Amino acid sequence: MAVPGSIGQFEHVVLAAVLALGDDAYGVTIHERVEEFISPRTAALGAVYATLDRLEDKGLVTSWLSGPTPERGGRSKRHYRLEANGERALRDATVAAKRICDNLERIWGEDVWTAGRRWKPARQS
Amino acid sequence: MDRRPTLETRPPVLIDAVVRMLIPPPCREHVVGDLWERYRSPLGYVLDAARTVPFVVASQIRRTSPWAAVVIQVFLLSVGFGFGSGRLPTIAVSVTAAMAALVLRDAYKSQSSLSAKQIVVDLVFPVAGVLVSQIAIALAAPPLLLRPTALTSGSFAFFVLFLLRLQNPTLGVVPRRAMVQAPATMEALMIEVRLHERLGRRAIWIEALTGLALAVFFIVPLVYSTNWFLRIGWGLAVAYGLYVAAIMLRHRTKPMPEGLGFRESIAHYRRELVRQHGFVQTMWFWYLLPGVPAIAFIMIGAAVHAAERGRPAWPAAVMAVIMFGFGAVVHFFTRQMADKVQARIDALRAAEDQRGLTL
Repeated sequence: MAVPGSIGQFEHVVLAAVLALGDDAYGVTIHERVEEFISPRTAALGAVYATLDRLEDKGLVTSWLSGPTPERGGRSKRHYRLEANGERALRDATVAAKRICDNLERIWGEDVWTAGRRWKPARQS
Repeated sequence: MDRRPTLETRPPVLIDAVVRMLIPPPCREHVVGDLWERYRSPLGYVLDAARTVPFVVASQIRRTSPWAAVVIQVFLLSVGFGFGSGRLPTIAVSVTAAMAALVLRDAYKSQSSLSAKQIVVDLVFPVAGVLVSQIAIALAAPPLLLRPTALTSGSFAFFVLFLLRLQNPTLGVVPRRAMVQAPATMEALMIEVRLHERLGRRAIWIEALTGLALAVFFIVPLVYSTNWFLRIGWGLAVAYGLYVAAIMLRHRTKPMPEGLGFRESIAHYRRELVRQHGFVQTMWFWYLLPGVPAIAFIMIGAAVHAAERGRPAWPAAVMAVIMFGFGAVVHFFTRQMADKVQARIDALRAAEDQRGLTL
């Protein structure tokens, strides 16, 4: 059974994207930032929504609808914000990832960050 | 990057209407808006929607139909239709049609009212699902049609389902958002407290009356029992029904006294939730466990009865396993309820602490 407040790998990425985007975190921008983070892999927009729903049910993020905007056919955006529990969960997951990374560096004897494929943004805006 | 679609770059009206129809109403507004914002071409729009809508629907189903709740409802309907029809394919088709309609109804409903009227409207959909499946069976395989007895017992199962949903009105409703935030004003707090009291009273009365009704109903098999195991089992079942009714009435929700300040009201509400949390978390001990001897005696009695008539005893064993499995699911379901109550208690405690610091 999952530990309360524990998050999966994709949830970790989505939480990081919400934190990075601040006030501009909504479906489209979160998806773009997630694809940047996981490049060269891609993610479906729907997978991001499903993960945001799960994170909201866990009380890690909250959401609200903004006013309708004409450029979206008069439809609102659902904005997301990290809650204190979400920030804690993100921190815990990042510490765990760093620990794994340090261990792998010790085993492989090389810098994990520079070995293999380098990170680069998926899209230039 | 300018994502604003111009008048020429908006999705075709027909495709847009289909996509809008497929997205559940609670998420329609922002999902359609996001798809519009990403619009490049009609084909791209269709592909984007095809990669988005299934996830959105699945997520909405996950939120409105937790698996434990689905198992409990499947069990109820299976027993209902199975009671009047021993044919497994017939039962499977009816239950699958009813549950598919109910799960989709819960996912696609735009209102999440907790009234009895709303629950009746919700249950119209699974009933329609069963009727449609029966029409299809009548055309394709008439021997598999439900017998009139199964239709009667199935109707009773829907009545029990109505009571279950009336008792747990959050079944089929998206979990409360922002559980982590406590009410900020007295008005918001009192709305939540009064709703909690009303639902609590309703749940207790339904459970108590169901316990009494079952106690009376179990007298019939008690009178017609063919061996001592069955007599003891049904006697224990009658006692169990009365016990449930008594214990429920003893644990009624205590209404909040009038004239309390905001901080005192939060503290009172939190204490009430703590009491409720203890009640729900220990349910397996005081609610499920006392029912075990009755089930055990009835199953042994049924096996003895079958053996006396030269029939195999294994159906009783299978039924016992199903009953204990059902008990395990109910236990899991109540643990989830307890976790939600605990989340609310934590939020109220944090609000009290915050208030204490600011006063």
